[in-house]
Amino acid sequence: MGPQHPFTHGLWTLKVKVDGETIIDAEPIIGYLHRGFEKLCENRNYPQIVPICDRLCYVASMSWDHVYVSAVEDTFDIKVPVRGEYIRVIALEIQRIASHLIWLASFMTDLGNLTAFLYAMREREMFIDLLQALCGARLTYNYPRIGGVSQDMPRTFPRQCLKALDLFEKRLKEYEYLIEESEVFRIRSEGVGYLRPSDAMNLGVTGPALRGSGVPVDLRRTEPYSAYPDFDFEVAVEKGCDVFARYRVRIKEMYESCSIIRQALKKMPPGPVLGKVPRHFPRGEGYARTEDPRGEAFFYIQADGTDRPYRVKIRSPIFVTVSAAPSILRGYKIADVPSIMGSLDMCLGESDR
Amino acid sequence: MSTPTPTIVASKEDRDYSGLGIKAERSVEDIVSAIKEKFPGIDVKVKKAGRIECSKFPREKIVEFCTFLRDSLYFEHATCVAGNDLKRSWEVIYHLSSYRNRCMLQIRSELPRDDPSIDSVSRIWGGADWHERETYDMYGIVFNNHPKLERVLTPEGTDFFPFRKDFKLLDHWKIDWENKGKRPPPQPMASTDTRFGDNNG
Repeated sequence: MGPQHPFTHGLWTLKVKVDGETIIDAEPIIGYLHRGFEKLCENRNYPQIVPICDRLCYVASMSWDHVYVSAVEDTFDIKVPVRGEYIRVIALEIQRIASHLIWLASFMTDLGNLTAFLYAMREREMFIDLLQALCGARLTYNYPRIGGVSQDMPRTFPRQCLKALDLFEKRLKEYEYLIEESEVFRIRSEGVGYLRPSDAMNLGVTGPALRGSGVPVDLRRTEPYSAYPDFDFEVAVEKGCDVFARYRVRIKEMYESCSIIRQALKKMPPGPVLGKVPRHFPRGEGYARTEDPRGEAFFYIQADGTDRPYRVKIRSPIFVTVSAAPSILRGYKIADVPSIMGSLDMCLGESDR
Repeated sequence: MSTPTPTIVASKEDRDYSGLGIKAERSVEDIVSAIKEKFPGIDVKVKKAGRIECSKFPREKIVEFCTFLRDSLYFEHATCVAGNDLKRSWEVIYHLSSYRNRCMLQIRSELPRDDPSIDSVSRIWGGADWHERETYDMYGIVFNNHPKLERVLTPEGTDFFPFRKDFKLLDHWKIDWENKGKRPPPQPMASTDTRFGDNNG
């Protein structure tokens, strides 16, 4: 199946070995989008890498910018002002909602619910507008900088943001009802794509797929970064271990993101948004890992004293999750493939790099 | 032949993970002393809160060490396996994380230039499988006993390792992709395109 298949959402192939309708074995093949990203980073200096990090994942650019700049800050011990961290958290959570909405849209299309597709895309537009108000761009933001963010938020932003959140929370409840009351959706998602918690941990699955298996690991909570220790939020966990549980985790996360944005807007301290950054970067190494909308994003940087990194390694959550796909798919029918793979939220830009 | 049927197992049959990650069970210093007790000759130190560093690790012991980490110290998750070209030698960097103890361990292991091989840890953590394949793909570092050490990102039949430091960047323009990615013999560049600086990459 693939690389041009309606369920793939990007270019990748799934080789499936079947006995009748039942899947015996599967093998994902990726690499159609490989751009040599890590080599590209070795030939650019540190600030120049931020805009190309946007291109890692085209639906969650902000989180990749953020994980890169926090890795650089870890390597060179750069301090970020508190207001800068707060604005970053707001931007990240808006990005998380937007990313989950585009997942909801594509997942619902796979399962034949076109109404939810249109609604989800419409709501996403509100959050894209918010990000546009924040940084001027709609998809590739280039907003976080080493040491903070590029500019302060506009004065009308909190009001616009709260208005969008109020509307969104009210509508999301309706969409939940629309989706979950559908018999077809329940049949295609409940009890499908079972992933044992211990398997999920061993296979390196992270993010909503891991939390859908009942493992309450959220790096925002277990290894807090940025300004996340200041906020009070729940880690969304479901014990179902199936496609429906992963769907529920993402819905819950959207509500939690709304609450985090509200808290951040309320507690927002005054001050500068961009800290002092050294001109010359010494030798050193460092890494940062954050909770991407799709799982654990990780950036490792080795600096050799020049203005360019010697080695950059990116851990993409989907690269590992898709390698675990055969163990989830085995034993199910061909018709279950779109719903199982859809629930993992594929993004090929980041997995191929 | 019998077809495997999907069975839904109640989550109590698996271990209960609901209390995981709420607080660290063992401190970082505790873990370091446990490692030093079991493997005395290894350079382990705490870098900062929640981060342990282990450099110049001997490559023969990697599987033994990783099994010990997983079984006794609850490093359940292999975050990343990365290769590196140090020009005089090769390097493999492991990042392992423990949800239970809320910490991260970095292992750097150097390999000799003429023999880039190390034992695979993909039998210990399934998540390391594709990372090792990618490292092989990009650097040509061989992982012994790996279940399937093949190209993952570059096309099948590629005969070069693109992330090595001696790989010239503009060489990929000359690759004949129609002919399974075979590289033609070196020849002077006909193009005078200087968009990327000099023609040597």
